[in-house]
Amino acid sequence: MSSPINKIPVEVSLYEKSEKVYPRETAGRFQSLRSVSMYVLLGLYYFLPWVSWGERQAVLFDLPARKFHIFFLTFWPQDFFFLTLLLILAGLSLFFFTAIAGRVWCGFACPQTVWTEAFVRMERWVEGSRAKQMKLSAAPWTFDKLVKRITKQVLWISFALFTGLTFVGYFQPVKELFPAFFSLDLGGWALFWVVFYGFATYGNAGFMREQVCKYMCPYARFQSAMFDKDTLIVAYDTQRGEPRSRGKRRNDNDSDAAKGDCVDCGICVQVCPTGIDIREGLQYECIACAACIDGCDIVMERVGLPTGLIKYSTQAQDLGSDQSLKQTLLRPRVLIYGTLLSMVFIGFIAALAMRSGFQVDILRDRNALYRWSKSNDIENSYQVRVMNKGQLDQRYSVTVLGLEGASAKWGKPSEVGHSRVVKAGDIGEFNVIITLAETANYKRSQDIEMRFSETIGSSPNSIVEESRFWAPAKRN
Amino acid sequence: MDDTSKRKLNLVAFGITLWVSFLWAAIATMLFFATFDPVAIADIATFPMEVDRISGYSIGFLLFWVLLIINSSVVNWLSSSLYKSKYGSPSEHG
Repeated sequence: MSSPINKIPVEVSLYEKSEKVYPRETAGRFQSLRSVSMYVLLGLYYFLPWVSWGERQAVLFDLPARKFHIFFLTFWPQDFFFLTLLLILAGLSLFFFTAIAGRVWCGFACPQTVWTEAFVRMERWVEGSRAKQMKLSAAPWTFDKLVKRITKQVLWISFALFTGLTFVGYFQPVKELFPAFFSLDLGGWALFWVVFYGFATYGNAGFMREQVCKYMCPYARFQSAMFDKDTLIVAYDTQRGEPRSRGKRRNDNDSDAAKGDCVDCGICVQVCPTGIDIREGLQYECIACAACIDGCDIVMERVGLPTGLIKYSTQAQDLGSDQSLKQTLLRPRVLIYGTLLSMVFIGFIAALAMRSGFQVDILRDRNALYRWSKSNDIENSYQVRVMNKGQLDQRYSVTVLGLEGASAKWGKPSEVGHSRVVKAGDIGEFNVIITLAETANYKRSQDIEMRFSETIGSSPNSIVEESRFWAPAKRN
Repeated sequence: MDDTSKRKLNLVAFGITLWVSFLWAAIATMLFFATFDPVAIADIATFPMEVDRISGYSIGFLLFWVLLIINSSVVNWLSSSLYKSKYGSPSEHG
């Protein structure tokens, strides 16, 4: 007879029910560092759009004009190369710093962490400590709870909208955006993006929090590929801590059982923003915020044991390696990442410094290959688009190379030999006419070069561009 | 699997789809509009349309996003039924 119990289908849930994590407040050197990092990064984010550079906003990604201004630099779609380099730099930096110090990015600099921390602080400010928050959550809906919840939501939503507004302020002049928003004049796409980004901030930092790191962040999944035995991680000293014991059992002097230093107070679990138990070893949920280090150190001091039961450590150190910090830092992985990083960085700076202040596109006149001038010279006409990428209003001069006896001039110059003014960051469209005496030595079609030079500024750039010159078939 | 956890599982899968599609839509938008000017594209469109650049970028981004969401959702859905047919769903085996 088979047991009926075996036949009952068991419901297995693949979904791990996520309980809200109420991180307990803690203090210590790493939390101070995180505070500083949070204030600096948030301050930078909210303040930067308000900085001016000359007459314009210092950092403005002017999408309608297809120009990015970053202080004294202006980038055009033609400069996409620099963005690519920048992304490569960012990627390599992540590799480099991860190899050295593990997930410092996650714990201290990631926007997800920084904004979550800001939202957690607002929550704490309204609802009180961890215990109070949990109590409030379990309590029935009284007037007090209602007031606290509404206050929290108002704070969160205002902060999120402010964040969204600042975000759009990087793309539209912020000094017009804010007044327009508060006088309810903002409409269309600007309003859409303010609300969109605000909502994303609210959702990610207010509700999703550690779940973004656990379920959505690709870096959390592949960071282990950059780890090795010498990477700094937040680790619990199992040898020293175990077997853990607490309360009465611990103080019972009659017990001969070995006692580890862990008093099993659970602080390390309570302070964890991702709700894990670091004593179970390194887990991918750990964002290396070091809250558990600070929390544990306080407890260790209180019970009179040495601090550092949970500490920044490496796998090699835990296994008893006595390598110095210098030896650990100078390992091949770090050196390779470091070399690559500095190479790309130097290349980036060099390319930036050598970037020409303007760009020229030449289009041959399509209507006629050539024409005769009044004085019976052969003329070719070219459409020239000059992009002034520099910071000064500029005039350009043009000369022709590679064709003896030919001369180049602007179609309608304002000064002899100089183009009309092209304002900084503007595009000028001109005609260039190249003239060649009929008596000169020429072919039916030949390559020529035009040299364009800036005429204003202390170090004028020049550019040489290729084109073709057409002439009638030679009659000899 | 009970209905609630199934629904939640779908919700998480959809959340991941939204997010991953968002990332790729952002990258695609950057690459595409660094190469093409939306105003110039509107000029040569089959149907007469008038867009300024901000609308062009926004519509372009949302279009990329929607396309990627549809694509990933269909892939998700089809491949999930593939797993079911091969290994059976957990509730059938207990």
